[in-house]
Amino acid sequence: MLLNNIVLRNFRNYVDCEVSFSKPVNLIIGGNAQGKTSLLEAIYFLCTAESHRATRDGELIRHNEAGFYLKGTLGNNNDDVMSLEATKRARGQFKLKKNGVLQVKRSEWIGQFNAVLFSPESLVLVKGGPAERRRFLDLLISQIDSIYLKNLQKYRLVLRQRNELLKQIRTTLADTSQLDVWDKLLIAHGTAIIIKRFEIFHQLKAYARQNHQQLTGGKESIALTYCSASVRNNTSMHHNAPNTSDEDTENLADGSEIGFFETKTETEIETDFDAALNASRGADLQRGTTLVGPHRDDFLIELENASATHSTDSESENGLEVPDTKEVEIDTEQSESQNLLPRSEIGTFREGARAYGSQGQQRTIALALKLAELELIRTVTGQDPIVLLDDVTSELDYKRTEYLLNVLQNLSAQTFITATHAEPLVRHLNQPNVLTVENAQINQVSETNS
Amino acid sequence: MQEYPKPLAKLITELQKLPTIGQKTAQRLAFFMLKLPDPETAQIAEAIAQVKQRLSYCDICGTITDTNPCYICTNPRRDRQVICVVEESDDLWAIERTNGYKGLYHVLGGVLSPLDGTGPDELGINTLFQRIRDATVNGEPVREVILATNWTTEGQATALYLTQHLETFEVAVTRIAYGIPVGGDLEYIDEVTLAKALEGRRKA
Ligand SMILES: [Zn+2]
Repeated sequence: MLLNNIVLRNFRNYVDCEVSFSKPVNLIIGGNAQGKTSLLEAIYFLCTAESHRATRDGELIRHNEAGFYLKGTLGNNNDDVMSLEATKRARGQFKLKKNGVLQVKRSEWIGQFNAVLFSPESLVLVKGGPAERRRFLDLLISQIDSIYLKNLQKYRLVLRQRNELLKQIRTTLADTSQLDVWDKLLIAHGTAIIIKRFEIFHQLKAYARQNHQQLTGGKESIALTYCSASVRNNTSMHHNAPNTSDEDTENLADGSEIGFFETKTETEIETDFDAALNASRGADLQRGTTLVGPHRDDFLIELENASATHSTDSESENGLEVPDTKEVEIDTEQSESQNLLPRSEIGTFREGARAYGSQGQQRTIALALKLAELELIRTVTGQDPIVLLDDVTSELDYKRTEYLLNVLQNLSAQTFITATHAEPLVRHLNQPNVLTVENAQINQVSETNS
Repeated sequence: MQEYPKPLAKLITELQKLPTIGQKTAQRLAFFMLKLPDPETAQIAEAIAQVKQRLSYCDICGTITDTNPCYICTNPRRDRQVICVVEESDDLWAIERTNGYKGLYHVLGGVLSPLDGTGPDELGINTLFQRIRDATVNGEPVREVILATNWTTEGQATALYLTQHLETFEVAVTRIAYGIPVGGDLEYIDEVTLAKALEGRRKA
């Protein structure tokens, strides 16, 4: 699907703007706060029915206006045309229409066309808490599997019911046998979520690793590990590895490649989740909230630097030791204390970032994850997603930008790239359509040569 | 600004208490009623008044009825050994319209939903258990309980709760099958997962 045309009304700083995209590669040039990012945000919103940066939906509405309106017209080579409209009134739900027909469920909206967005905010994948990485996984899988999103929505509802019941039991000593019922539903939907996450994560981490190695010219590599307190890791070997000082980094890399979680069967996951939930019940009741389950999972990003093994090793070891051990040992006795540990300490890159320093490295990892997302969507759907690159030249050094552009040149993906200046990007792009954005006005500049 | 005459304003306000009736629809309905001949408005008013005065809940099954116990509970030709558990009275009538069911019913009056403050005590669950016990004492033991709550999350939770608690009774517990309608929606596929959870976990 290619986006042929978009209309933005009272969206961010746009009053009423319509723009057509005649070419696959679109370079959008403008100063800060002129509306470049908002244009990408609008495209992304049509894809996912959510913003990548707004914390409140109201932020998307132009100041002092009652609501916004977006309309995208998409087409493919067969001349099939699809129109997607999104409206939001200040006090009201989103209304989503496909070809003029109101869509009631977000699960039916998502995945009509796919988009991958790389922006300065993508850094939260590495620097942010577990919720950011879960959101990344959930949105990625929801785009390619509508049943996943339905299970996720059901899971969230069961979770809210269960948490409410926990609070009721705590205060009024309500019947605990009700809890078993919600547990079963939580396990049923949760297991479906975990299985799908394992399946996708398994592919994602391989793509991320490849891309990262290429981005760093083979000097560095990353290992991604899914972390779950609801599924037992049969052999905690891998998780112990970074903490064992005499273990060398190569073994660590091997361990993470195998992925112990991913070999689990549905029944094993169900049994594990059931056990974890049972073990956690006391603490859950005490806290009035559910402390284990896919809504608490995360993935760990470890950076392996081929050239500097020992000096950095000890640093990262100290940093990772405490949360990592807690993460892996999900024994019955330990689960309570483990649950008291703020989960944000687990799997974040915080310690790694201290050990390895540079923001550039973190950006590279974020980009590797995004490129992995791109490859995954291509593999699963057989179609190139729309690629949205927001302000990449300010984010990445020249070498990495060049690699990124090379990757994109080998795809037939429709691409939207924002930058403050046309140079040097314009020279690397294949006959881009150049647009300028100034004060929320978009103008077609010219047909530039490649 | 001149407001509506008081009786008209009152009718519009009252009509808006009905589900799906907003202000505009309420106004339309009110003006429509104004134009109706007197006997017809009287009939509407009478019907509304009677609904509350003459109807009550059946002491046995909990359905809405104008006789107590209801026609179904007192019908000697119904199979007294089978009880179909439904959420609301309108579910009962939906099943009745199929003409395929000859057993009795039990109306819960809702579903388990902690978020709405609905627990087992707010539903006709204890009366169901008592009913099954009484039936055994009276020499007409219940053979089968069919769970026909909806396949929503809360309907499922309620069915699971009943399944769990009916294990101590000497009855077969079954769950209505979930048909995927013609041109079936993918929406229902995850329900299959749930059906499996419901069935598979009963043995535990
Ligand atoms: Zn009755």
